[in-house]
Amino acid sequence: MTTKDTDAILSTPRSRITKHVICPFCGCLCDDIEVAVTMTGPLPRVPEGTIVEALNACRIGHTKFLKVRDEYRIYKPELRSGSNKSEVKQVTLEEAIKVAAKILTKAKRPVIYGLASTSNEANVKALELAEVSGAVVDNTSSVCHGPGIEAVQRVGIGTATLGKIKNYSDLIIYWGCNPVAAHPRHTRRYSQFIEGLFQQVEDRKVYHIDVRPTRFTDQVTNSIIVEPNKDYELLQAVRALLNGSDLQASEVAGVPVRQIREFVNDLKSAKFVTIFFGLGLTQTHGKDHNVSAAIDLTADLNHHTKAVIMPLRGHFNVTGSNHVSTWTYGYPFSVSLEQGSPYYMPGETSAVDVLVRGEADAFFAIAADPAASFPMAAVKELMKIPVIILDPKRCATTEIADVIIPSAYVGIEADGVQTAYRMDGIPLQLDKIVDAPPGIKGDDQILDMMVREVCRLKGIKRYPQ
Amino acid sequence: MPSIEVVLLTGRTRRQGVGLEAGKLSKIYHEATTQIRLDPSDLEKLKIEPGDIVEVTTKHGSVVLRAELAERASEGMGFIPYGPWANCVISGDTDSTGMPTMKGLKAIVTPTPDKQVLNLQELFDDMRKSVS
Ligand code: SF4
Repeated sequence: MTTKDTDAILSTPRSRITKHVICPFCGCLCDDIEVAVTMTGPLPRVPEGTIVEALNACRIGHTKFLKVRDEYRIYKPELRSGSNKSEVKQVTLEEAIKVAAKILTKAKRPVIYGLASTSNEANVKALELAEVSGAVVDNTSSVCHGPGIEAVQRVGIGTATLGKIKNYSDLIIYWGCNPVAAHPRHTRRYSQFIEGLFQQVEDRKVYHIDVRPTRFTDQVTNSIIVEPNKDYELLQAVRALLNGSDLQASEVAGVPVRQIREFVNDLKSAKFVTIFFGLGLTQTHGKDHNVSAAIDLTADLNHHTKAVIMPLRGHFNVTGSNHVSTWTYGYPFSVSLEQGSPYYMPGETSAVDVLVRGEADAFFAIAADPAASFPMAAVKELMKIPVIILDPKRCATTEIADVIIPSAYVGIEADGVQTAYRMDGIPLQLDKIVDAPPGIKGDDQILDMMVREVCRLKGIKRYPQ
Repeated sequence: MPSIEVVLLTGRTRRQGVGLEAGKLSKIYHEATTQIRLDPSDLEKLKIEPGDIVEVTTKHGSVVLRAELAERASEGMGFIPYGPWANCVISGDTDSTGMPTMKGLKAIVTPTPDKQVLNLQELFDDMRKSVS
């Protein structure tokens, strides 16, 4: 679309603009998007009710809003069969739910997985489905910030809201992450480039600590390059210096001790330190121990100044999936409900492990694409068992699935109250902007139908039949 | 053919993020996720140009990708954006955390001008063969 087209859309009374829309892509949950929707089609060939602009959104968020109805959208539930799932039969939603519920009830160790790109309301229903089916239920945090959550369970966490960080923080560290690639507006809305009530942009110092320089490194004031897999060593070296010990080495983890000293001096002289960390800490050797060390560093820093730490959460409601799981079953992810009571043991009850050990005999992906995000060893296991997927669009998992159930986009099309948690744990309500395609329901509604069908098949008297 | 050993990293790129929403079966996503980014000095050691085809092998598997230039200097490192192709060479072992090791693995990169980057369907067909 050209700028001229955009001007035409925005100035024409035939398009309506919804302001303060929340972008349902990443954990930033930017709430200042202005979405233009055609009313009677100001442009030729643009049907009514089409999203034609998403002002303020970054490239990724913009793509999400504008690609809601493209060639990969699924409009009818499908049952697939054949060796490479090429035989497709379109069915009604009720038929698809019957088949899916039968798969779940027949399985001995079904896995329900995903839940990060959908609402808290859908999470509530998915957990109920896991309970009535006796399943393992895991969200995508087990393959992103799960190890960080395990660290929090061990050592706690001192954190803050993004608003507080924006208003007060004068030293911001991005450790093991690249916000330019994964959270493009994070620095502009919450940290480096936003004027705070008590903090000027030009007085902020920003460190990027990572194993390689990226485009983000160009925009920060200081950069530290650490050897791959050695974040733990560097974190402990920083703690040692901060706590008054000396280092009997010229470098640690590839970083000259002189540079570590300068970093420690900057930390001590700052008024409000914020550490944002990414998967550079959780997906390398050390995993949860790296995050424990980073949290310990934050705690140590609070003897000298004010310091907080926060994971940069990826999917827009991955934080919510942890909250809902915790308030429902006491554990944030990887919960097994096979015994009738919740049991949590990452490494044993996490989706990848259950698959790789060959124990799963059915898999239900909800608003997630495990075939594109799990290691090959786990994807091969998915190919051996019945797979159900609930998602608006075709993705890698739809290509290996037996049952495909299309859903409405949460935060764009889904009806009813839909909420999500921002990466700092602030709950926000996501409103509907356009109608879903005819016959397409929201995840929470579809999962509710699934729960009822599983209850009916198993004779569980939870709902009036 | 000359080979080099690199430390393999997988991760997000903006293009891959756009590809997620443009569609996992789209050309944007395919192009964003079927590459390994290498330092110019490593491309030189391999005697290849950006866009040439290489095979990346770890102890967990191998995958054919396009070699591209890294954003910034990163000698001895190979970066593959997250996606089904990167997942062919990462470990399924989670060290009892639930999280596979997706960064910091040792990998060998070898030029393979006679091989082709598979599309998603072909990649899955290949996996299916080894499953059945
Ligand atoms: S930064 Fe994240 S939430 Fe904000 S517009 Fe971009 S993708 Fe959406």
